[in-house]
Amino acid sequence: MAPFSSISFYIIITLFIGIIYIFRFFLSNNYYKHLLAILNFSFLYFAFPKPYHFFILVGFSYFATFLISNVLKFKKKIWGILILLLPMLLVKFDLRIDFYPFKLNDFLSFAGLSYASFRIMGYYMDKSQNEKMIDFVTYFNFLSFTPTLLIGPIDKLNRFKASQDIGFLAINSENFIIGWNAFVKGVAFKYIISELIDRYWLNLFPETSKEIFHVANSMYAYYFFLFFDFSGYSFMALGIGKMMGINVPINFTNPFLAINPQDFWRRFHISLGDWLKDYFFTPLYLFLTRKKRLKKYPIARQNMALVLTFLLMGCWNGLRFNYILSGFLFGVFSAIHNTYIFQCKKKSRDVFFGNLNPLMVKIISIFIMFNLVSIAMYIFSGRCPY
Amino acid sequence: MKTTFISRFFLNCLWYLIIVLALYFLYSPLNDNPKNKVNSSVQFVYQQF
Amino acid sequence: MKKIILIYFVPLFIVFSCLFLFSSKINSIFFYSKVNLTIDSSFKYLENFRNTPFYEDQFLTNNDSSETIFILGSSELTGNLEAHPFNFISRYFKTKIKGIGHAGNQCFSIYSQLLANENLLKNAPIIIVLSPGWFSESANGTSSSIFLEFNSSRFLNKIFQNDSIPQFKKYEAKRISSLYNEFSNPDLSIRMFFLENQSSKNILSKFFYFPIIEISKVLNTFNLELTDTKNKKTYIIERKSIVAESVKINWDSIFNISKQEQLNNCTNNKWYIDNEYYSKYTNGKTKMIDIVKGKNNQELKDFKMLLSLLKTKEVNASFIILPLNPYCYINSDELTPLINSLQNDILKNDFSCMNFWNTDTAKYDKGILKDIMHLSNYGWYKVDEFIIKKYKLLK
Repeated sequence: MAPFSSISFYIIITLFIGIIYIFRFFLSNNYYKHLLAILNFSFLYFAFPKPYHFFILVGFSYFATFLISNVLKFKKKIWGILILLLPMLLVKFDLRIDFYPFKLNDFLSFAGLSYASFRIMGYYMDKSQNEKMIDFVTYFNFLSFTPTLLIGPIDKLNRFKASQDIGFLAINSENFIIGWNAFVKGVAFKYIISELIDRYWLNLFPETSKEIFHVANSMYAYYFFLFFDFSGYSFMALGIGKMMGINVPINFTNPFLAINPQDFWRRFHISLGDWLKDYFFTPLYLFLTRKKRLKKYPIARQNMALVLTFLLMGCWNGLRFNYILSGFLFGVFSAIHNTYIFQCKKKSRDVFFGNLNPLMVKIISIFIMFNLVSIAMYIFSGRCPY
Repeated sequence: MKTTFISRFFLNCLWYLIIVLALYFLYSPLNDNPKNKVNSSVQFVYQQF
Repeated sequence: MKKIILIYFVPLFIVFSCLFLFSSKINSIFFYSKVNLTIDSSFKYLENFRNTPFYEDQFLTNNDSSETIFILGSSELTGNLEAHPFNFISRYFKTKIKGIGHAGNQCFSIYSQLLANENLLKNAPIIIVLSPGWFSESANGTSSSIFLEFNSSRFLNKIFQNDSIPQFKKYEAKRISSLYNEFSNPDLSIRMFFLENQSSKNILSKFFYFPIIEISKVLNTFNLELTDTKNKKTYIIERKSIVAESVKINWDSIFNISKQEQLNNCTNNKWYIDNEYYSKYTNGKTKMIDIVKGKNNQELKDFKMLLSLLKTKEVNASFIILPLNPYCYINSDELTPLINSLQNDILKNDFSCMNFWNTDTAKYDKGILKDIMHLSNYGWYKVDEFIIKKYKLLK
């Protein structure tokens, strides 16, 4: 049973929260992480499909991180990244080894591999060489925390550890109320609003119809559907996490009001945006900066890094044309915006809006951004009839 | 203090009433909408990875 | 803590109580009352139960004047031939025949349908048509989508709530769990079977799943109360003795004419396949049946459980084993040991069996099949004769 997929999951979570609330009276704060580990382990072992795969991934990544950064001390991080992401890359590229009696993908792939790989890589990137490995229990909890197991948000180990160290002290009525409210909001988003959109709006017109009005309708409906569905999950994960004593990062803050691509990624799937910025965009930009040939073109360097970052995001969703194209589009939007900002600074005036009233500028920006994102998301959905 | 307490109580009553009724309407076995199933993006994630 | 309970949980409790108390009022506002469909109890053939759920109540029941024989099988029942037992016998006899099934309705699907109605099984006359194709690698075991077509949540709930059949229920849970990943958004009834199977793995699992199963049961009962109020009464069907009648049937002439008719349809090939089918699908290409290698023959396991259910419940059952066209399937004799074992199992359990299996082109009863695996009118008349003899329909 995958998280959030059935009523049974919510029953299990209620029991988990109950157990934590009861044990807070009996256990000292040091044992919070052990209790959490037992709960996470039992969810994986009893309820999760292919639990052993997950355990092996946790073990492999922990051991590999230790080997790479503490024993072998690779100078270039890229080799470590490739080793740690190897299982995911093999699945993504869907390698078939014909002389094997099985398909490699059947053997390797399992639910949650992607998000776990993101977290694994995050930890490796943040960890400096020679820094002592984090204790295994925390590492296991970080990767397998039940509410964020499948669809994030992508937390960072330091954050997670800080939150875990508070332990039972975080189990109090204030946090419970915050968590409960977030959970109820998530339920309303996911199970009511997104479901209403899916049932009564999204399929108002046939998917294959090429009439512009029909396409526009499906496009907006899909954007709203995706937002409410995904943010619903994130709010539920946040709420459950809070009730269990772990701070899960906020993943969505009203992306419809975004005024530019940069702002959009600070509001939509924030944890992925941050992850890409910290572990891909910044290292890539620094790498490009070191290239002599590109020294003269700072803006081109930035734009190149932006487009590549979003292309990677598209590829991560799957090596399919629609994902890659939508990633590319997001990259292009960011690059255009980046160039616009650069030009504005250079010429010390707004090169697009001129002296227009700031409020109008904001409204127009929101309108443009909303439509651009809708288009890219619609391409992402694979429903676009063109 | 007391008024906020009471108003919160009734607000919550209303809020939960709306949610529970909506959930009941959408997922009751009596709703014979062909889509009367939870359309899960977890399923999407699951298929992908 | 008190504040949380008062502000958050008391409202929740009030709302749920309101929902529970006023559910009928809410239902009448939200949902239109369903139109009562007039059920034609004289139906002859159902493709599945999903399209016609109101016929679930009619399954294994009998008619006013005599017993009703149910014939369950897969693709051979489709096509509405004149000689199909539910057409031919139902026309001339008071004892009616009803057919249920289409392609893919295999042993486990049939097993589950019968298990759901186990209270009606004793002495019920049931004929099961076994296709050799079910036991091939490509069709090994009922598929999840076909299973759902024939086994509604109502049927599955009947099984789940019935504690008198533990070993059969356990098998049902095991099989449903093996299909579980193929169901998209499975129904609560399917989930409960899955959970039950999971919990039976070891003592720790039992402990883990206990509260989940118990809460699911409560929810399920609530679901059933909402939808199934009228189905609460259990039908008790008194099995009738089959009325023997004096109907004149000249089998020889029926066989001769129908065989000749079939052969007249097969002029463009020497495999005795209908012209249209031959030119469209076969065109001289021989086929190989993919034999299940190793011991993992799921369909065979399902068949054995089906047989065991029929035996335990003292069903008046009989089996028809269909042939494959030996001209087309050049390796069909590789399946012979399995077919023989099926027949032995059937006979060992005192059920009767009509076996059409033949792999020798020299001994092939020409015209018995209309294509590569489905009986022609001639073939079905042979089945009719078998049914009439077996269930003593003639005086």
